[in-house]
Amino acid sequence: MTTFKANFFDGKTAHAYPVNVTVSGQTLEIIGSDISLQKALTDIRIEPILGKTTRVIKLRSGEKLESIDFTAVAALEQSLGANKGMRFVHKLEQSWRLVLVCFVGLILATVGFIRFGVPWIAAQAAAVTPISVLKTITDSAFKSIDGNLLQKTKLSATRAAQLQSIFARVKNRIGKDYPYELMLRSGAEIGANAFALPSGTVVMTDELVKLAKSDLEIEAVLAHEVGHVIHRHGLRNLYQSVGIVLLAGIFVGDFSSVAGLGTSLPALLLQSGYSQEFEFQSDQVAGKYLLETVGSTKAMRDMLENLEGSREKSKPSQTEKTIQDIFRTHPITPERIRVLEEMERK
Amino acid sequence: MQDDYVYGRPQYEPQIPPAPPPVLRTQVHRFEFTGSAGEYFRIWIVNVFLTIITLGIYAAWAKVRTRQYFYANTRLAEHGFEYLGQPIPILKGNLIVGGLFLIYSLVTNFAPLWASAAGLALAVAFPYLIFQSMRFLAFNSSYRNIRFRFHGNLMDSYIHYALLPLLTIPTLGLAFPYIAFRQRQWVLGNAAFGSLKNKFLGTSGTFYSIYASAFGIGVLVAIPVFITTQGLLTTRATSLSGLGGISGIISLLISIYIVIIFGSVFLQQFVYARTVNYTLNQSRAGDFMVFNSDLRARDIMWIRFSNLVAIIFSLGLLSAWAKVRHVKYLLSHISITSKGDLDSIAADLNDQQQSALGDAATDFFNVDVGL
Repeated sequence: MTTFKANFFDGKTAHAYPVNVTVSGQTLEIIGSDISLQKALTDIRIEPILGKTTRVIKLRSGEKLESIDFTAVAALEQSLGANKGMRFVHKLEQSWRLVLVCFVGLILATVGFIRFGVPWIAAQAAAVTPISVLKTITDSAFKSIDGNLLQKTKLSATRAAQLQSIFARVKNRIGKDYPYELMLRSGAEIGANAFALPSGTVVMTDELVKLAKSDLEIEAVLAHEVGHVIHRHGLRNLYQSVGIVLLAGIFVGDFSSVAGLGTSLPALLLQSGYSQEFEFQSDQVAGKYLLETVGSTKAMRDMLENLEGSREKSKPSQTEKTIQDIFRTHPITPERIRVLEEMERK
Repeated sequence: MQDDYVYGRPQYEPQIPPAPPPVLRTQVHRFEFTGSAGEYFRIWIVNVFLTIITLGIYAAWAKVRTRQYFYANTRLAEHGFEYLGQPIPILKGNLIVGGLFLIYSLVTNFAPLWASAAGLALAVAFPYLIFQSMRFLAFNSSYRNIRFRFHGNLMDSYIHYALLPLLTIPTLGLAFPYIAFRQRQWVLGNAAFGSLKNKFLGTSGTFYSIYASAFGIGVLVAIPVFITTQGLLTTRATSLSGLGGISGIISLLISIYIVIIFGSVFLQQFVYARTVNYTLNQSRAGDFMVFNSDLRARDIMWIRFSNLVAIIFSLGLLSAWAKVRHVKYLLSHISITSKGDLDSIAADLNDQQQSALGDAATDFFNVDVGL
């Protein structure tokens, strides 16, 4: 039997009644000058302990007790077996040492989650996304860039037909079941470039076609783009960026005033880290394709060098280069070339 | 007028008609915040840690714990406040909002045409969410076991958060203080503590003078800053060439950006301090209670500024300290004056439908409702 002091609030007025609370057997007795109540212990709920704030006990009938007798309330809580989880949380919160452990765990979990968790979840989600969804996404994305970033191709009809047959060869060999389409466009602003949209629409610019020194180099680029499609890189990229934003939200939720300053930049940098991996993975696809068909990855390496060279030339001043290099999403070309060379040696 | 609350202590006063009403002593009660930065820091770290390792599920519990910590440590006339929100409904709200956000970000990324439709849907739902979140927040706040209430209706929410804001377009923004005033009037005029309904007596004129002062201060500060940076820009650009000059210009642009951010933080705090003072001082809880608020704009600006610097240089770690410091200051400058004891304020026992969805949504989009 224990007795402790508390304030009783009846829930009808804001009056605080000082009372003595006695726990005996399965009942709780509340006695004050105007109050005399008996409640079964099954009709009370003890609110979890939180810092040094007043302990709160709710009665099912709507009344409330507040007490600063922490020992007595804790004993009652323990005897009822209530709030086990929150008592553990409180234990963590009370000790600087355990908080430090949580902090280290938090950093490790965050890094691990960004490094492995987000890409893994994104890959799973991308793998189960139906192709019809990819098609919708692709169509609307393509519509939004075609006509402004991309113009009609200036290549001759025969040249275009040749390129289409190269593409058909690549997709038949490694392309799996996607509704492929090769879009030849003149890419005034984006220069020599090729990219793949999630459902298999591959865009290649006239500038890139002209930059290639042989059709095999073009074939290598197309194999690389098909690699992006079969590994669903576009969709994974998208899911990953959503994941990072949600993750940032968990942190920022608590200090929203710095949200604008801190979140967009790291998210962007993380994104570019992810897409480097995707480039290497697509290089693997292209490299394997070339090894199987012609026995050498040279065409892909040459094409990468061509692209690097054209990029350097197209920059009119130092300015643009430095700004773009900060955010460039493609990995450093020499590293990609080195990996392709290694592939050939094996 | 029929009083829907009871004041004085009728049960102890001898009722001798036609005696004058019981003499009510005027009482002043100051708000006080008893939480500590260290304690809140530990709660916060544990919250974030558990939220991460449970993949966000614990966020609902974390929110309840954070709010309850600030409520319970907010004390008035010897008693603390209580946050009554329960984790499970909040978790459901979070899941719905999280799901909607997922769909929304996928749509904006890849289907821009649908994105504007989604944006429109959000704009249409926005006043509904505000309305829901205000009801939820009020209903889940209590003091001495008496719940707060919000009596505004959905129609008025649409008028104040969808229709009125449209006025900014034809007036080129000049209606903004009026809209801010009407929104405050609606929120504060419909708030109630138990059966004690609040009245808001303010007028839009004071809002105009607050915004005009803020604008004046902004212009006075912006002109010299603009002139100096312009000067620096031209001298830098001519004296240095190539990469050095460019990075110089970039760093200068970044510093201008920082000046603008800090500048707008300052002005926001100025407007905040003045409007809180004015709106609280013009609030009357029945004929029973008046609020007094004497926040000083320059104190709040200093607190916000130094907090921001501390948060940035501690990589966010001092944000717990900053929040406690801010709340401590705010509460120490707010008090109430009542005729007689607070004890006799009665509850409003009518039921109200509640949903945590609006609360989760406004929280997610970081919408600041009311105070």
